Amino acid sequence: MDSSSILDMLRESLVKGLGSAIRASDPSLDEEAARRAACTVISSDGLPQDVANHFGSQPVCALVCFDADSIHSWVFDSERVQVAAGASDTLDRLNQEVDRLIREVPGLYGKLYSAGGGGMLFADARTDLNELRRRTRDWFEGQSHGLTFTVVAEPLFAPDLKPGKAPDKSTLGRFRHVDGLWGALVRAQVATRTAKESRVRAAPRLIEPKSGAVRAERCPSCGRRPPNREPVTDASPEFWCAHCHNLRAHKKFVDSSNMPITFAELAERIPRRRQYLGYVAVDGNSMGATVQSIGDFLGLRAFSEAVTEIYSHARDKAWAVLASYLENVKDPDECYLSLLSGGDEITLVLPAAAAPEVALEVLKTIQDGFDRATSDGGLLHAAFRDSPEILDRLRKAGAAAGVITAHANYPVRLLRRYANDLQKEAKRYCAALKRRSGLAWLLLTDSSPLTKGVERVAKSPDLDLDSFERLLAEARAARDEDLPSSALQALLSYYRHEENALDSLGEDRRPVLDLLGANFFRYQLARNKKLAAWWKAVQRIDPEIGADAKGSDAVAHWFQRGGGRRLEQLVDLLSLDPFPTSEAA
Amino acid sequence: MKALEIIVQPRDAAFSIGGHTQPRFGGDHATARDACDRPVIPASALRGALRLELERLLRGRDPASTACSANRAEDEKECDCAVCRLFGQSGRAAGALRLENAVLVAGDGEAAASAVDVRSRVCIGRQRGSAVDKLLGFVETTAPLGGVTPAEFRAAAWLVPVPGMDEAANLRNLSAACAALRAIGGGKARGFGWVSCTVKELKESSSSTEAAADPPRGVTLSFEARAPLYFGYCRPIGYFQPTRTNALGSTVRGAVAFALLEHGLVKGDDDSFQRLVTSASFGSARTDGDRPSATRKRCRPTGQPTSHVTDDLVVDLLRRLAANRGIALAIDPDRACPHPECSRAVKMVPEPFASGAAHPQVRVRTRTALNRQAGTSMDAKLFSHQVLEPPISAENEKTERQPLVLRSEVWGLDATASALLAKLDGRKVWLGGKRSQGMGTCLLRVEPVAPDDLERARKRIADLKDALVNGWAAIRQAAHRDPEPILADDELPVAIVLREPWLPAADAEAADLEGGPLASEKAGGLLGSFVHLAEEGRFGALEASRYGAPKSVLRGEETPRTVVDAGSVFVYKVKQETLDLHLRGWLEMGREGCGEHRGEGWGRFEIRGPESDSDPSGSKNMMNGEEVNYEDPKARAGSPIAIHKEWLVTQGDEIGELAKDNRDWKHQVRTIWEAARLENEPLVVLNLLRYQAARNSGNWRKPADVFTALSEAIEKCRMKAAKDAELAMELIRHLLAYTYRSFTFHSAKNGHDEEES
Repeated sequence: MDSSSILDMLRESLVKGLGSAIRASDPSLDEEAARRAACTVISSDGLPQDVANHFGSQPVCALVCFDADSIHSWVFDSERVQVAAGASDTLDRLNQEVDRLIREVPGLYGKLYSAGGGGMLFADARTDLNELRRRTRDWFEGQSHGLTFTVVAEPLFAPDLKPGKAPDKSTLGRFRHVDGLWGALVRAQVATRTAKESRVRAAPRLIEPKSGAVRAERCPSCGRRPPNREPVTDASPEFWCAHCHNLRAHKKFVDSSNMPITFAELAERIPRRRQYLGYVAVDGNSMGATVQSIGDFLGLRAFSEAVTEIYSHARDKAWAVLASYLENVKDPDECYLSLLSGGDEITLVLPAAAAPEVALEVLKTIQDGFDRATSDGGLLHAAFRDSPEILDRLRKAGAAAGVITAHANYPVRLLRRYANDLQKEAKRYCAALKRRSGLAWLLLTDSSPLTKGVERVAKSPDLDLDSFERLLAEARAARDEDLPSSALQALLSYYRHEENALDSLGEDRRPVLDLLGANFFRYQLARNKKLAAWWKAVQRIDPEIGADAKGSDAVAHWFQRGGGRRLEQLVDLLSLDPFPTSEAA
Repeated sequence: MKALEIIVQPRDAAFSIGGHTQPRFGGDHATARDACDRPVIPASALRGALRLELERLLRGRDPASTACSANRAEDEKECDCAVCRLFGQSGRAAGALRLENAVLVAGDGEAAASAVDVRSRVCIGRQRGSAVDKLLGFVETTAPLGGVTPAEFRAAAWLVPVPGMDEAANLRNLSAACAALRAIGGGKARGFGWVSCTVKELKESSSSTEAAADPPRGVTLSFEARAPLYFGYCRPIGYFQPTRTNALGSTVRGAVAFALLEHGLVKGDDDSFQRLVTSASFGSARTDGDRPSATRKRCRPTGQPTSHVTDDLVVDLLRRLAANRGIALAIDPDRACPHPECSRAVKMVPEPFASGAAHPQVRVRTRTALNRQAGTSMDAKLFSHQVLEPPISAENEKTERQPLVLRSEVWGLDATASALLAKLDGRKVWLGGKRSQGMGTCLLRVEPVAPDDLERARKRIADLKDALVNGWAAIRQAAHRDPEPILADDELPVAIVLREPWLPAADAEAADLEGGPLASEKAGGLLGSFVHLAEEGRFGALEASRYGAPKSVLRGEETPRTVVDAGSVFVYKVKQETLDLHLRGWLEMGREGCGEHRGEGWGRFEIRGPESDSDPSGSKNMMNGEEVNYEDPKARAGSPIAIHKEWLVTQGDEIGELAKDNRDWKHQVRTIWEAARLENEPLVVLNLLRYQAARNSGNWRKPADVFTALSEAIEKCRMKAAKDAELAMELIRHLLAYTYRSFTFHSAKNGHDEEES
C-alpha cells in the first residue's frame, strides 16, 4: 500500500466521524455536503462559513485526550519478569483496542491517534463531556487493572477549526501564541498535563488474599519472606504473598512456561562469563516539539502512524539481531523483553552481551525509517508536503539511546533510571552538536559511584553513532584477532597510571596524556604481534587512521580522538563478550 | 558507653580485602580503600573476622551453649548467646559493639598512605604442572605493611550499654577475639593479611553543654557524616539493598533517642525523654540542596559541564491559566529554555528527577557473607548495598571538600525536651542502619532555628503577584484578546511547596484532598497545582508498606490512602484580609506540619515566591537562594615532572624516530637508560653517553646524528631542573624511556615495511 492510499484511508476514517456529527447538527445537509464540510476541516481549511454559522456558539466536536499515569512505575512494579511483561502487554493491548472503546462508549466516534499509552479521540460535543470523560477513564482503568489514566475532554468550536496562523515570536519566555486548530491541539495537550498534575488520584483497591493463605516461609512467587511464617513446600497461588496475589487477581502475569522468572535468569539466557543484564532505553529526539508544531488533524494522524511504524520496525530489528546470539534457547522472545512499546519509545531488557549491538541496530533502523518516510513516496513526505519546515525537521529526526549493563542483582527499576539518565546525556549531545542520533552506554561495576544517577560516570563517552559503530568494530576485530585482554589491560593500566601522575595538571593533562599513551602504545605495538595485527585491523576499519597508516601519527591521532576513554570502553565492552559465538552463528 | 580502639598490627604482610572498590590498573579483584584511595579494613570485615574468632573460642570452651550454631538459618529467633550479644544478630538485634573502618596510621599517629600493587596469579594445571590457559588473574593488594614499615590499622570502637548485657563480659570477649585474630581478608593461605590485634580502652572526653536560658521551640540537628550512611529504601530486591538519600523523620527520632540512652544522658522512663519522642516533630534529615519542587527544571541540552536550573512556576501556571481561557501557547521549538542567554531546542527536564537524588554521592558496595565453619566466603551469599559516601579530602587537594551534612529541623519542643537535645551537641550519634558494620557514625550539632519571617513571606507573595500580573499582560497583548483577569485587585497568590510528604488526615473530605493542605484553612480557591504522588501510595496499600510509609496507612483500612509527595506545589487565590488573618498560622503550620504523621515531619511546607530567574552557572539553588556546590572544581598546581611531560614525550618521540635506521642503537640506548636508573648525577649519564658515542659512532651518528639530539635533550633536562639534580635525573630517565619506546616502534615498523616491500 503506498503512502497516498494510506493518507486517503486516514482521511476517510476521520471524515466519516466528523461528517456524521455535522449532519446531525444540521439535518438539512445531505451526506455528501456534510462530508465535504468535514473534508475542509480535515485538510485544515476550516469549517465552511454557512456550516459554522449553523453551529453558532455551540461546539462542533470535542477532543478526548487520554494518557496513562506513571506507566514506567507501573510496568516495573515488581522485579518479576512476568509482571513487567504482562503490564507492558496490557498497555500494548490498550492502544490496539481503542477502536473497541469507541464502539463501546457512546459519544466517541473516531480516533485521531493512539500510541504509547496516550492518544486523542473525536467525540460528539452534544454529549455531557464530564460524563464522557468519566466513562472513558473507567473503561481504560477497567481494562488495565491498577493503572490510572488522565482523561480530559476539550470542546472545539468553529473558530478552533480554522487553520492556525503562523505564530508570532516568543510571547512568554519559551512559549509563543498560536490559534485556530493548532491552538486547539496545543490547548488539549496543556489541559492533559494540567489534569495530570492537579488531581490527587485514588489508588486502586487492593484485593486481600484469603485469610491465612500466606503461610510460606518465602512467597513461592516472588521469594519475599513474610515474617513469622512456618515454611511450606506448596507453591500454589493460594500460598502467594498478598502482593503477588493481588497482581494475579489483576491479571498482570503473563502465562508462559518458557519465560524466565527473574531478570537474573533472563541474563543467563545468553551464556557468558559475566552474566550481566542490559537495559536499553531509546527515545525519539525532539518528538514533543514536533508534535506541537503540527497544526492539523491529518498531519497529526500521519505522524503518529509513521512513528509507530518506524519504531515497530526497529523493535523487529532488535529481535532479529538477538536471534544471532542464541545458543541455549531457540526463540529470541525467551531471552529479552520489549517493554512499553509504542509511540517514540523502545525499552529493551536483555542479556548484556547483546545490548550494545541491538541498541546500535535499533538507532540505525529508526534513522533509516525516517529517511524512507520523508523521501518521495513516503507517508511523512505525502502528509507534510506543504509544510517544508516540519518536513525538514522530520528528515533530521533520530533517537537517543541509553544503554546500561550491570550485574543482574541490580534492581531493574534502578537500571531503568540510569538508562534514562544516559539517554538524556545522549539527547544533550544530539542537541548540542546537532546530530540525529546518539548513544551513551556504560558498564556498571559493583562499586561505580552513582552521583546524580550515572551522569558523571558517563561524562565523556563517544556518544556519536558512527563512533560507537567503530568501537564495536574495533572490539570485534580484537575478538577476531584473538587479542589477549591483558594487552589492552596493560595499555589501560599505563594510561591510568599516567593520568594519576598528571592529576596535578587538571584539565591541561589531556593532550600530554594522549602523547604519553601514544608513546607507550607504539612501544607495545612493536613488541606484541597480536596487538599489531589488531591495530592493522583497526586501521582498515577507520579510514581516518588507515589513510595515515605509514606515519607514526596514526596512533597519536587515535589517542587524540579519545584514546584513553576508548581503551576503557574497549576493555569494558570486551569483558561482556558482546558478539555472537561461533556456535550461535 | 565505653570508647575503645582496636589496633590491627600488620606482620610484614600485604592485604587484599576484597569486594569494596573498583579495581584499578587492570586488576580483577580490588582491595578495600577509602575515598582517598588509602587502604582500610572495612568495619564489616573486621567485625566478621573477630566474630569468627570469638565463636571458635567459645565453642571450644563449651560447644553446647556459649555460642550459637554457625551458619544458623535466617529465621531463627532472637539469640542471647555471648557472640550475638556482642556483635548483634542480623535483622534481629543490634549488638553492643559499634565499630568504624580501621584506617592505616603511621608511627606518628597520622593517617598513612600505602601504594597499591597488582599481583598476578595463574592457575597451575595439576596434571601437567604448567600454567592453565586463560586463567591469568590480577589481584590488587597493599604494599607489604609492618616489619620495617611502622604502620598499623586503627579502628574506633564503642561498647554501648544495652539492658541485660554485662559490659565487662563483652569487653573480655572482645579482647579475647582480638588476641586470637591471626589473619584477615583474602589470600590468607598465600600469606596475605597476617596480623596481630589488640584492643585498647580510651578515656571518653565528656562534653557537657549548659542548657540555654531561653530554650528554643525549634532546633536544627546537623548530622555530619563520619562514615558511610545507609537508610534503606523499599525492601531489599534480591540481594540488592538500595538506600534513600535522606533520613526520614522517624529515623532521625530513633537516632536521637538511641543516642540519648546510649550516652547515658537520660533514662527511658524519664518524662522529658517521653515528651521529646512523643510530642516533638522531627523532620527528615536532608542535604542543603535537597529541596525538590515540581516546577524546578534543568535545561538539558547545553552540552556544557554545568547546566542551569530554573523554577518555572510562573510560566507554567500562566500557560495553564491561558489554556483555560482559550489562549494556546505552544513551545517555541527554537527556544525551549526560558533563560535569556539560552536558546536551545530541547525541552526542560525535572530537577532533581527523584526527590533528594541529586547531591550525596551514592556508591554500591558488594560484600559476601562468611561461612562460619570454613572461615571462607559463603557460596551464593554475595550481596550489594548502596551507601551515601562522605567526601574525604585527598592529600593532594588544596581545598577541603565539603563534608556530607544532613540537617533536620525539630519543632514543638518544650523547655526540658530542648535542654535534653542540647546535651547531644558535639557528640557522636549513629544515624540509619548497619551501625555495627561501621556505618552511620555522625557528629551531631544542635543549633536553635529561627522561625520564618512574616515580612519575608509577605514579600514572596507580593513578588509572585507582580510576576503573574505582568506575565498575563504580555499574554493578552500577544493574543489580542481581553480575557478575564486571573487575579482581582484585592486578591493575592499564595504558593506553597511541600517540603515533606503530606498524608491528609483520615477524616478529611474528598474535596479537601483535591484542594491541598490549605483547603480547609479559608485559603480561597486553588489557582493551580503541580501534584506529585508519592511512590509510597501509588499502587495501593501493599506498596505503601513496602516503600516504608507508616504502617497505619495499611493497617485495617479498606481503601488505601494516597500520599502526596514532597515538592508538590499548590497555588491559592486569597483575599487580602484573609491573608492578614491567617498568614502567621499558615507559617506555623508549615513548620510543624499538617495531616498525619506530623511527629515524623510529614506535611511540612513553605511559602514561596516566583523565583523564576535562572542561573546559568547552575551554582545557585533556585528554591532558597543558597549556594549549592554542583561541581567540585579543584584548583591544583602541577608537579614538576607533570609540567614537563609533554616536552619529554615529544622529544622522546622525535629522537626515537630519528634513530630508527641506526640498527644496533637499541642496546646502546638501553645501556644509557640502565645507567640513568642507577645513577643520581646527570653528568655521569652525559659522560657515559659521550663514551658510548665515541666507541660506536656508527650507531650514534649514522645515518642520523642521534648523539647530538640526545645530548642536547639531556642538557635541556638539566636546565629545566635548574640546580635540582634529583629532578634532572628523573627528567632524563623519563626522556630515555620515551625515546626507547619510540625507537622500538619505529625500528620494528621499519623492518616490517621492508619485509612487506
